[in-house]
Amino acid sequence: MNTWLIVVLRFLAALTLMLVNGVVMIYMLRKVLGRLHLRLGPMDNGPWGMLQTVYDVIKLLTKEDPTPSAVDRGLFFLAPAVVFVPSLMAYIALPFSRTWVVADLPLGLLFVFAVMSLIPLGILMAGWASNNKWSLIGAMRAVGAQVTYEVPMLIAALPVVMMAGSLNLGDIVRAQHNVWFVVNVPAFVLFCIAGLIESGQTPFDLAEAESELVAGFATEYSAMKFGLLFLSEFSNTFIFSALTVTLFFGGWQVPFVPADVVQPIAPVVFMLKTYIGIFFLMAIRGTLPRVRVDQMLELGWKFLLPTSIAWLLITGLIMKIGSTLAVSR
Amino acid sequence: MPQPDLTVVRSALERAGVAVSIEEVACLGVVCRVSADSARAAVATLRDSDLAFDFLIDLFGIDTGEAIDVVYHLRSFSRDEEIVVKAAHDYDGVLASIWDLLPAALMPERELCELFGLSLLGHPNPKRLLTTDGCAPYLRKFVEIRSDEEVRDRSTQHVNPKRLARAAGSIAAEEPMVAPDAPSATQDGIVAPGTFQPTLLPAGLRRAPAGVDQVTTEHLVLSMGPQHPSTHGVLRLNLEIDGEEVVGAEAIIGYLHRGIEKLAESRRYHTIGTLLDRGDYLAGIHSELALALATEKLLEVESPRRANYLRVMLGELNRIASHITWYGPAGLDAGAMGPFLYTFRDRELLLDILEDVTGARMMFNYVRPGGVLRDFTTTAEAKIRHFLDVFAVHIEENDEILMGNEIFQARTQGLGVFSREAALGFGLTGANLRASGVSWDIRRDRPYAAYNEMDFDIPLSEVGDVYARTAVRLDEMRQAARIVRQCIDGLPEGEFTAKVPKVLRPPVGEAYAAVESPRGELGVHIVSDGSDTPYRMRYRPPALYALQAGETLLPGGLIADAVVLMGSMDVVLGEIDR
Amino acid sequence: MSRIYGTGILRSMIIAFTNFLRPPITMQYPHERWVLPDRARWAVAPLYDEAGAPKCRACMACVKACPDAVLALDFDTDPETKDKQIVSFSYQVGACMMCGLCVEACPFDALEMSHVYELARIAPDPLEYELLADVPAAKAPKRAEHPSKPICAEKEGDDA
Repeated sequence: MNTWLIVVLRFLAALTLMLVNGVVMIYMLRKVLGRLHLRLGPMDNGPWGMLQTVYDVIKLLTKEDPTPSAVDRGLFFLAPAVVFVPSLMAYIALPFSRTWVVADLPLGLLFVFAVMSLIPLGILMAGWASNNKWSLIGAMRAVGAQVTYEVPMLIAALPVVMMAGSLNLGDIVRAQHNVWFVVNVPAFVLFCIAGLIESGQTPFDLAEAESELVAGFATEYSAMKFGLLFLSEFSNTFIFSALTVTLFFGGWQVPFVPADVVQPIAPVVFMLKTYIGIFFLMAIRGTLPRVRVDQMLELGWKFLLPTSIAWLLITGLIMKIGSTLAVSR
Repeated sequence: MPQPDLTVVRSALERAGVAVSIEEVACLGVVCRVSADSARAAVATLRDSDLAFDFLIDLFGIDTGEAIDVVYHLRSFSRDEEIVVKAAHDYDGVLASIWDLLPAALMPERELCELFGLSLLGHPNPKRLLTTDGCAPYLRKFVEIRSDEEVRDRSTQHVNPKRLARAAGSIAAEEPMVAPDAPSATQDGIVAPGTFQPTLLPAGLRRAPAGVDQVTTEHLVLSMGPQHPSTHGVLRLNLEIDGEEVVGAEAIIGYLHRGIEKLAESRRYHTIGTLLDRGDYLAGIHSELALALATEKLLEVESPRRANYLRVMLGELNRIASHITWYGPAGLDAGAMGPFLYTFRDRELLLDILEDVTGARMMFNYVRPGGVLRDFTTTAEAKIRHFLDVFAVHIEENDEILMGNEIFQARTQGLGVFSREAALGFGLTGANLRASGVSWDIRRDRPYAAYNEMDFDIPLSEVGDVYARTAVRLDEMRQAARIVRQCIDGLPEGEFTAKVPKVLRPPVGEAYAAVESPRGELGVHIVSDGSDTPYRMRYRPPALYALQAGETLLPGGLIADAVVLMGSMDVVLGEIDR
Repeated sequence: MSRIYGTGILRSMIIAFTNFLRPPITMQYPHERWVLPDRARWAVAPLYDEAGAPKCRACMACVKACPDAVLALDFDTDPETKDKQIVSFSYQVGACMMCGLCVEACPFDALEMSHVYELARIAPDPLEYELLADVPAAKAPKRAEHPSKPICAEKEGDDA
């Protein structure tokens, strides 16, 4: 088959997955938050309100899209794309099964981190171009969080890399054939905290803190431009959850079941694990209060960074001792 | 009400060179009449002498037809006494500000001057508070409100200051509130030399130090509200921010101003309750009750015991409903969505009970001079018992989900601390005052209705921060549930209203009655001229005093703190704007 | 009191998950309907006697009592019989605050606060309508009747 055709098809598969994920996750968020808050969520459109999100997408697509007169038009239009594209790119490296991966990159983990770190650039563009004080403050917060948490997140993931001996996400999954890396609990916790902030999840959703900044960087956006910002936010949540599953919960694998047996349903296993992770993220979103911006930065610089570095050293030490013992035995 | 010794007051004032005539007015207490020039000295003397009247209950005006009586209602917590100082000002007179003596006067003075057309001297921020420029001083007697025919023709209704100014005649509508020779707020030395310089500066003047990093940056002015997700109504905060840090703040109110005090002057006594419901719309029973108590004082009517029990029971249910509507959004201000919706399951039960008894969910129109409008219902009794059982479980859950949460603690502990002195100086009442360590509750210290038969505790905290205010309110809800249980178990048989005439015409006189509303001391001061409508009704809004106190603590915090802090003061804009 | 940092957050999450498993407290509004308590006050409605004639005697008590002036009553009096004919009894429901003072003021039990609460309209016109129009007002009964009502008490028999 034509190589280019395959590339295009794979890209389209990733795009479709992202869009469908977005719609499903919005519905799921409404239902999960509804049940958490003793409500039912949408119930009227379709069975159990399943078509509600579809209608909302149609609404967003057909809505008039006014552009405020004082915005920086170029940046204002570019920003949603700059936010959207990196989260789409991150899908490329995610291994849904042994063979289901858009591009099996040798430095997959690094690639995901690299493209995800582009998102705050788009948010800053959106905030600046909107010519709105709320947007600007929200955007500055997003950049501040990014600068603070990029490094700890990567360092928190490094113990896993050391244990797997590879930066390829597929290899990391295969290395967890019998023992999930979640046994490295501190690394997991550190990664989760950093990831919550990185993906703008609730205790740290300062960039669009609703009760403080109205809608943060998205205040001036409407219609599908808002839809893109919204979609990328959900996509980030998915990527964070998928990455956690890949790094700590054995990806598509089921422990003590041979890989060949799991293989036919591997993508389903992977998605199931990811959605369980998303469920917990949504429950947190519906319950916990938000930290203050200075507390978030303090947590990052004064706790997360030193701790993750220390834990990296300790993991290395334990592994060295372990291997020495294994050799000497 | 304990009253100060007349001779002590007289000698103290005369030693300070203030000519005073003291009289005892029934239903009101000791009234000192001083001249306009010596009003400030009189207040200063009363505050600084042994009498220690260091708490301003209220400051308002009365248009007597010959002059404008400025009324200073003072309280001494240490001696548990109250006193009223009246100073007659000319119609074009100048009000000397007492904000440096009692910072609680900051906003009431602005309100008084704009609504009575006085000039304000020595005030740091002498701007209009409630009305727009060009609005006539409508609390003066000659300004007439719309007739019924004009009201009924709704097609022509819009805010038209000229319509109000029409009757004002010679008064220039744009007359500034500032006396011509008054120093402007931006200059140094606002307070006349030799006067007491307070440590508490109002928000308009107080500036936080330049940012922590001492980097000079451009400041933004951020207009937070009146349409903002977390300003609890139509409050507008003009924040001057340096990055995330608030360096200056000013609360701008008046977006919900309806002129309740003026409207009440054209209403019969038993219909004013509908206006007061719409003042503090979260606790209508309490404002209706304050009015009923003041009217009963003038009429010398006692409401029957069953009515008193019903008043207490519904008042406490209303208190829980109000606190719970505050507690949920307090979590929401900090970003927690869950508690907001969990509190609403209890509120729904409460509103159902209140609707069962009174007929409405929030605008009750239930408590009347002489008693209550309708008797208790059996369905409501079952609902209340069910609610009390459910609530006992839910309150503990609601408590734990937020108060035990480390993130919430980090957000609220140590934020917005009012010392005891600051709380008293700014006229804080209710839970805000008790969180600062002042054990004062009108239900216990000036018992009204059936509170002297109830057994309840007054929650107290010494800390005075946002967390303490939250904790005190939570405990108050538990105590309120306790009172409701006592009421429903011991509800006496009998009449639910006293025999009062259909049209109430209280004798000439003045009365002040206060109740402990969820927001603090909600007082109604009625001046009666013997007719079927009050000559003047003053509604003491506890949330207004809380607002101006909260405003002063905003500089120095972050934007996120501003939201949480203003939320913690429990401001209800319907009551502030009236 | 020292606790491990984070246990409070965990407790919060546990409470949230407990609520997740509880039945919902909401009501599917257009499909289910709330039963209003007897005393609930909504739009004002006239009351009729057994024969279907309005009980209103055009005494204007409600119009005078209304604080928002949402009621207006226009009637003609027959110069000979002194019978009153109600030309229009209009009601601005859009401006009504459902306080119930008109019903309290009515000495003839001819008005009620009905339970019609779905009052939202898409146009402003239906927010003012006629309660009664072109009907004869009820006449006073032959024998002298003094409707004595205690102040602050509502109509008898309304008490649940």
